[in-house]
Amino acid sequence: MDLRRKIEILTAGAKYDASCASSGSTRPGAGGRAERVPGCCHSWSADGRCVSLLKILLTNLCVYDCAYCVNRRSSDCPRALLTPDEVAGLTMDFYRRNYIEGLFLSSGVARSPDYTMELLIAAVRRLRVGHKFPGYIHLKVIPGCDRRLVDLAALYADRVSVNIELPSAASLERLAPEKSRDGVLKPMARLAETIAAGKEERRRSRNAPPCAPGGQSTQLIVGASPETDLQIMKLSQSLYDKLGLKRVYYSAFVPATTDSRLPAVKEPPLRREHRLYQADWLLRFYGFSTDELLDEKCPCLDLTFDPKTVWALRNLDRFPVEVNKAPYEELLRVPGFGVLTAKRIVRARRTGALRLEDLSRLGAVMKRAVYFVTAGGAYGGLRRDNPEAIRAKLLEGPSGRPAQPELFGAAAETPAGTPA
Amino acid sequence: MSAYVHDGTFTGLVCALAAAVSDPAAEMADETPAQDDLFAPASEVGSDGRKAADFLERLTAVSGPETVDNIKLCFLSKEKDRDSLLLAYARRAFAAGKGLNDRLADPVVNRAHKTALAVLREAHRFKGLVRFRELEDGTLYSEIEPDHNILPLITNHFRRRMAGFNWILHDKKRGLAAMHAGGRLRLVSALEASVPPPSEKEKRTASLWRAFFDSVAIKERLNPALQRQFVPLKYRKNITEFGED
Ligand code: SF4
Repeated sequence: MDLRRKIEILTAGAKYDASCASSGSTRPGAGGRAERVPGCCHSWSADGRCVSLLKILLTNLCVYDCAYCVNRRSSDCPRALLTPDEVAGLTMDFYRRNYIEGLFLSSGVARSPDYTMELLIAAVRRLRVGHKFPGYIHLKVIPGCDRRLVDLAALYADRVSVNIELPSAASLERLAPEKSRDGVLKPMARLAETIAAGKEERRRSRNAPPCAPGGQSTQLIVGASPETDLQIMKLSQSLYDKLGLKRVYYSAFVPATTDSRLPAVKEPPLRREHRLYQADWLLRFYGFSTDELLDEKCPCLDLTFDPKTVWALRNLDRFPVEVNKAPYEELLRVPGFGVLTAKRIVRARRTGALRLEDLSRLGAVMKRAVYFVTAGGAYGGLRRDNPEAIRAKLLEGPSGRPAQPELFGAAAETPAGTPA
Repeated sequence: MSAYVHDGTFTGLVCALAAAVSDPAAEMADETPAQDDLFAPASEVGSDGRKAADFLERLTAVSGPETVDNIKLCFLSKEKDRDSLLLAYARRAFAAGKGLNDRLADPVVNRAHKTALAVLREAHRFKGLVRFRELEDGTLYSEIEPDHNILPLITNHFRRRMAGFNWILHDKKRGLAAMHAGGRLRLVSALEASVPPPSEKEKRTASLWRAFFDSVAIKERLNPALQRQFVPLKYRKNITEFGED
């Protein structure tokens, strides 16, 4: 089979993986490969997603039969396999031309987890050792593979990930019966350990070998199984807190297969995915905890309003916030204020009192913020104690008609690099 | 009242600012002054490295290093009234002192910051959007046509990224080029000679890349408007994946 055809097949098989991998946690180019994370997108595909990596499967052959997956054993699709040499050569050719920042390599399970993982390791070893490739590598670790291979993955890759995919053991059992929860969690725990140890070693000696300096991430599929947003966010929070994950990615379930075990969905739940990303963002950068956003009574994120607005409407007694006095942490919690806006406000108010009309120049989305702030005591909203009235107002477009809630939110709320 | 013009270099601009800032009636001639304007003669200010450095030092001393950073970035911007903006900004610096760059609600400070940010943003964007093609002799060659003069801001990035290769970054709009050969970097203001033909492998590699790029989009989620927001049409003619085999 010619290389072009292989690329088409193996890209198609990899693209549903939502991990954008532009974590942006470290500045790009700030030294050796150890600190590098792809900080910039090189292109944007026709669906508006950032392309910074050659994201491809080594093979879409698979001995497993996960219900939600296009590459499963029983699926009738064309199959292909790249050699480790082909992967390394393509990556290098693309990297030199500045098409990409690096490689995102994943795979179906050919023969066995260990056999597949060996091939993946061979490809990245060829790149690092043979081609002296200085770019970024995100490598998937195949659930159930040997510990020794997990360690090698961390040695060559900048970021490693094991996909959890289904947010509960019961769903995993039902939809991916050949993958065990243990097979997924063991390599994750092993990675958490080696990454922490590697960091410690590099602190002591600059010459210590790098160990997945970009950390570990994972992906959850949303909408293929019955878990609520509360369950999903609780899982994410514990992954961040206990295993030190860098990112959890959420992927709206795209019904690419038909299977009686799967819910009948016509459209992938994109808005729900977007809300989960916003909630996740609130956990990591805005000082929120899951309990504040969701509880047993309301276990699902509101699709009409973003999670911060929903929280604010439920906690109107904490508003309006005076922009000239409120601490940074409180400004962060104002709907319509992003991290940058809050920082600018703190900075600008040092030189003089801010007025309401100054705020949009500082990046605030006043359409939303106006109900939740005062400036020098002045309030521009209406009925500050009436959530229903505010809710109705927020839904109104400029002409008084109900506005289309925007899918991609305001720029101030969704920092660049967030996978849409 | 007089309007200051300069030779278009950064040093020239700074000298003009230095002269204009102490004269409250002075303006900057943003474009070449209108021929028939008899009442506001333009005064050409010389370009003097020492004078410029002194002025920048004074600015830093009164208002902090951020002011000079912003002036440098704004200098690279395509804004038509760039020089007037910078004069107003420099005046504000002497009036406001240390707090200058906290005054983000002040329209002049705000615009200086936004203009600087726009230049930085485009530079950042081009770190990704630059596309090289391999020439016969192995040199990697790239043409760019950015809105702002961002070439000086991205050369270091490519110097690090492509340390081991020979490459050329060519701003066609401004006739500027950064050339990296044998480990040395040169900036040239006019690229002579025609570009040699691409290497044998080039066509195939570009075509494999397009094959990847086309298959990576999720058909259920096509969103050309969003794609245009990130890769505006004006940039596309120099980007491999938007070309044809
Ligand atoms: S193991 Fe991976 S590739 Fe194989 S069917 Fe399951 S999800 Fe798909």
